[in-house]
Amino acid sequence: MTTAIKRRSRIDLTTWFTWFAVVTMFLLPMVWIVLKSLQPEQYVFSSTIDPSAFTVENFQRAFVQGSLLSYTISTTLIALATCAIVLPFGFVTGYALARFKFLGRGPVLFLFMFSLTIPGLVNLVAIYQAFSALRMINNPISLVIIYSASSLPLAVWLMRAYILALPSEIEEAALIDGCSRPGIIWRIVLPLALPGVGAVAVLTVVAVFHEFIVATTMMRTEGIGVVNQGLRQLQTQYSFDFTGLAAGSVMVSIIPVLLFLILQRQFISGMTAGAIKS
Amino acid sequence: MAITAIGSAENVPLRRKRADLFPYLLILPAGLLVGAFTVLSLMFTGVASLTDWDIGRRVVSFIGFANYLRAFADADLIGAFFRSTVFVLSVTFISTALGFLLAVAVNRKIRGQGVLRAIIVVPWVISELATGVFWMILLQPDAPIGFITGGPLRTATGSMVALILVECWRSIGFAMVMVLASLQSIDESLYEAARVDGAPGWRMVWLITLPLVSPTLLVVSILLLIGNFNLVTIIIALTGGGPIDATTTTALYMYQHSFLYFHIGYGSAIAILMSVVNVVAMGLFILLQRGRGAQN
Repeated sequence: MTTAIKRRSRIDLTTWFTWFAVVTMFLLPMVWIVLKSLQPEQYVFSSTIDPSAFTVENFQRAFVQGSLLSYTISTTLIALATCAIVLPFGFVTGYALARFKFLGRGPVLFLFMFSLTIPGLVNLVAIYQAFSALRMINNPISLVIIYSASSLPLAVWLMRAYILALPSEIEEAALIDGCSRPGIIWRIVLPLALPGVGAVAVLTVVAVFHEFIVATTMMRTEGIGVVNQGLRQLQTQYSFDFTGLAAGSVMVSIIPVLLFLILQRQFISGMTAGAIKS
Repeated sequence: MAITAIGSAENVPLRRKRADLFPYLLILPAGLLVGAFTVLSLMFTGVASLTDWDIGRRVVSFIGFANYLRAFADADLIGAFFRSTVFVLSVTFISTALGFLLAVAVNRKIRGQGVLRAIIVVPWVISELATGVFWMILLQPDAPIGFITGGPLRTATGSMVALILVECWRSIGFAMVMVLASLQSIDESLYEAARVDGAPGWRMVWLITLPLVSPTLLVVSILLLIGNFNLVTIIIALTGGGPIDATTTTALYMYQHSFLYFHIGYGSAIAILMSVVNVVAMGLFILLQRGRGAQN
């Protein structure tokens, strides 16, 4: 009896400590930034919090000075276009690598694994020169192509892991019943693998919203590119407008954070499956 | 499971006889795109690293391994590599350790488990640039955190420590999620047995949990190692590599040479050296995994 009480009280203490640590370490900095983004400029470093003085002025300023509306629209379009390439091709490639044994399967697997290892930054010089030779600098299509190429290795890896975990009996039965092979992929595998495709979709969209370095190298026109370029523009041109910068960083984070909060399961399964199952 | 799936697909007689083009067809688009990007880019960078390609030069000529010789003698690059090492090892160690502890803490039947987990992962979902920008504000000498810590971004050491801790703040959630996933596969009865034997909680974590999740800790460490070695965006936003060059890492140094000074040849040589570091890290990881597999 006494030990039971003892253990419970100790667990409560750990719980308390965990909550305290997490709230001060992770939540408070974010809350402070959100509060500052809502307060007038003169309160930037003061500790007064007066909800009646809250204003959207900072957001309006960030919107205009960072061209954030235009950047948000173009990032969304780029993310959707990237998904339109990554999802179907990642899915069929993952399927082929999971279900078929063919000559060259090892090298293909190695290629995708190897591409995961080589970071985009290392290839950026070559990519820049290639797209500039094709006269595709400052063209959002080049961003879509680059983001697709850099998202595909992980997408293939995740889809392969997901399909490997599905039972293959139904596919074999369908083949014997005379279903065509594309038909099997479309009608049987795809519906079963849909949660995996969802995970890849969330990760791809968030990756585009996170990107900065490639976009800032490739794009020249203000308002066309990714949201982080807008935020960077604010940072370089209005470096002492801290409330405006706070509003800007809140705004470029809203879409990825909302996506994560709504689709937490898919997001986390994608994050973990990629590394642990390999 | 995986092996039977492949094996049974093989047993379907239709697929066995002729050389089957279907899987190649499925792989072709993604394989071409990724292959072109990785292999061609690497080849291009490799060739460019042997030239004196520079913004002001009309005629580009091959200069052999001069860029590499220059790199090994470049005090700034060596300094940057040293800072990279400090940065990468600190972030990897702190994030993995704290991610592990938080995962253990959150994994118990705790009130508000889901909310806690979400709070810890949100920083990983915010972009590097936004994270750098708002921590730059938080660390201003007049802002609460900056005031307590004495405005760290004004000094060289302070900037490096700040950079390390901000990057940890971002990546702890990643480490925690990975460890959490592997904790959930541990057999509960192992703890029951230890509890019957009267082992205290922290001993169980040390003797049971830690060895069981150590493969995952290895995966997390390698991913953080590689990720942080190639990180530039958060540095650009938080410190810009400064003061002077106090937070200029290898990756940022390479970026500056390639895209600010347009020393394409020299930048490419550094890029190739960076890929070597990446590939060695990944190779080491695969070797460790294999060794582990052979043990079990």
